[in-house]
Amino acid sequence: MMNRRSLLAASLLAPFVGPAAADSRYPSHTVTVISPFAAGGQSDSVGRVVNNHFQKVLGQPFILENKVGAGGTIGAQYVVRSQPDGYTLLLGTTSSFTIAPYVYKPQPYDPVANVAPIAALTEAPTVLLASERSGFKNLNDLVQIAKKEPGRVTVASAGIGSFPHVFSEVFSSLLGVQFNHVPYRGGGPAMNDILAGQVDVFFEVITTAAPQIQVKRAYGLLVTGNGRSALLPDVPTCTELGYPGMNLTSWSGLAAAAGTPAAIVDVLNKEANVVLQSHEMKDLLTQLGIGPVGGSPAKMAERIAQEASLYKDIISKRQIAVQ
Amino acid sequence: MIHNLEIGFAAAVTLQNLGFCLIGALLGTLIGVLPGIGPLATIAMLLPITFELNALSSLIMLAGIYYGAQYGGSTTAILVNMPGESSSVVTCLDGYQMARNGRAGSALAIAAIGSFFAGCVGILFIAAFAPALASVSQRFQSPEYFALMLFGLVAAVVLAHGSVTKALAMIVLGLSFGLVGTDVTSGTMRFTFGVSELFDGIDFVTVAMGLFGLAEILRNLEQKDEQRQISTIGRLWPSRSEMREAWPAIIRGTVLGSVLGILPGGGAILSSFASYTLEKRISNNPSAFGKGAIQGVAGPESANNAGAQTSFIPLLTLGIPSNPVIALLMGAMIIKGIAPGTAVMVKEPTLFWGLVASMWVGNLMLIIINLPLIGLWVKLLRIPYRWLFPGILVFCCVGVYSVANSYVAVLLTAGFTLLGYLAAKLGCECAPFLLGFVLGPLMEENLRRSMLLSDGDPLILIQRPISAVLIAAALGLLALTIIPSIQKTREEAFQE
Repeated sequence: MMNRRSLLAASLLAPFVGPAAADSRYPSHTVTVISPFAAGGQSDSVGRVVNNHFQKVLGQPFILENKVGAGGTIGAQYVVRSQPDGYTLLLGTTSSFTIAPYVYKPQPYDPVANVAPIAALTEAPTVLLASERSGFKNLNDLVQIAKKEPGRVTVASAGIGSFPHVFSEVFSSLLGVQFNHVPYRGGGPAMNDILAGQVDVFFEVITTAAPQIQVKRAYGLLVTGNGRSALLPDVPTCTELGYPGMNLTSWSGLAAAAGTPAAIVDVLNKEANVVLQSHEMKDLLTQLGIGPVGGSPAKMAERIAQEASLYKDIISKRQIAVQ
Repeated sequence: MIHNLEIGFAAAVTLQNLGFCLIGALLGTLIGVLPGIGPLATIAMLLPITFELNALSSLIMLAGIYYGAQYGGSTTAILVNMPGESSSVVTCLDGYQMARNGRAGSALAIAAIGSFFAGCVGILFIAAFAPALASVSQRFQSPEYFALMLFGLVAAVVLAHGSVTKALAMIVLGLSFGLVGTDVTSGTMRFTFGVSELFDGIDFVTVAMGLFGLAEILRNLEQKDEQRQISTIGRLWPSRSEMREAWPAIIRGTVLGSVLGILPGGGAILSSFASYTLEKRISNNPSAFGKGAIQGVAGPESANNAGAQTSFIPLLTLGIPSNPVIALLMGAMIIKGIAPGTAVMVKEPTLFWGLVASMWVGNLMLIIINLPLIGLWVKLLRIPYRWLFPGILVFCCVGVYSVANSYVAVLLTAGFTLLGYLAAKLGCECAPFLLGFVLGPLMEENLRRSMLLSDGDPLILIQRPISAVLIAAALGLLALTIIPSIQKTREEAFQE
């Protein structure tokens, strides 16, 4: 009896012995990568390729877990509050790092102070989509009408505080126009109403926008990014049209809780950069129409800081809040 | 169309694709039977496997899981009052009562047959009318959705067998619980009490498991052992008269489901509720509903399977997912480099028609698998309850937890169990609650969006023909339901 009891006690206490011994070799057990958005999304497929690579090279399972909710803040909060030992990572997006923390009140976490960036992974150009019914075939058409009749042009978004919403606010402030904002529950219903012609415009990621433009069910007015997209060669970039300030993309990146040892961050960063150059990743990205980013943790931190201050400003000016 | 179907069948009937269809259908049935764990979680888990396969095979397998789950969901609804899928809730109402009366075999068989018939018809719809249907669905915008939801809510009163007042009260209560979460239009959080898991609202599975499945366990535990065991397990196959009664319901349900399933959004759950309402309304014996009327199982089951098939149409023709599960399938297509949308039919005919053909093959496989299993399921009912219910309880909790990896959901389910138990004690029914819970927020969202788009002009609801008709129908139905009870009260008052 005594033997069994002590065996049971030992097995119950075993997990707590872990952290002290973990420093010797990272990783020494399974790493969980949290994706704060629903399964099947873009960042998910990229995340899985990255995880497979990590698993092969570092020798421990890297599991992708979806913790959905509250615009991605539930998943991000979970990582930010976890132990900074490199075993809980965040596969976040622009929204996780630069938008959602400023929209949701009370602030769930500080993306500059509470997050340790590891590596930026991919970035996707944003397309300004106009419905067939709206009749806007180029940016000029849109700006003319929007300036003449403020509030007449309706812009869809994936929800209050979502990337399309905040981006539309940046757009409207840069161009000096006023939109009538119509929020939806996610990108799917928004796209549905664009195709039906119930809303005029929508700022959507290129992967889902391009097919509709290619079959002429909607018009593409501009793309963001450093050059025209291969998927939409006829759509001008925002820089070409004279608005370089709008050159914001929707990107994804790997991060951990602040305080994670630099050695662990460096290992993960190095391998992330390696996998971004792999054949498998390149094929996937071409299909999705998005591009690799890569770079050092410091560069990602810089990007977060820059975009966070831009978005924070517009969020407070336009009083975008979920509370 | 015949030529297209030829291409499709040629692609679908290869050994590899048949195998994947079988795996998908089996998996789907299994998770449909397990309460709580749904196709969404399963497809998400299997997505990585599809990276290795070609596009058609992966879509065939994933689609098989989706409509297989519809078949499986009705099994638990009938046997233990546990809706495996949101659209199986209605099957609980009469199906479970049939099981308590020893007619579980009939109920399960009719559900399977009705689903198969509806599946075949649904697929024909897709093959023949997909693009036309898609453009019809585009006419349904926010004002029409609002009107449809309003009609649905009024019809919910009809679902109640007892007092109209109590049904209305439950609808309103359901509406209130549906408000929990973040409001889409304004970003305000309602009733979340700072709990982040509530920011996106309460999940349907949480409510349904508690109100229906677990509350039923509580009520069963109250009774003595002898009362609880089902007296006789009747026949495993429906009788002639049952089949005769069921066939018209199956056909009506199929039509309703095919039409409503095309509407992205509330279509799927509406189709089974609408079918139940219709059957009850036109039945010669409405009081039999709620006590084991076979039309109450045949109609909704056909409706939800027809809806499951036609819900692929917006995806395949417009590139718009009708619900989160189809959104996952869309993700799978995009990863394979196939942009879902109008172009798919033209650019990738083998894929489109292969998928359509394999859906038929899958339905065939499902009915071949499910019918013999009925005997096995019915034997499960013989297990002494004191062994059965802990198992159900565990599966429920696992299922509820697995939806969002959240233990808060499990606690909420416990709360809803108590609510369901109380409701039963007070003679109130839970089906209207559920309908209010689902339709209320949708109704509000669409109303406010209509107002946003019309610049605050409420006349938009009447100016558009479809929505005007639906609102008039809703008001008419309300009058039809309330006037008799007013007359009865007047008569009673006069008699005194």
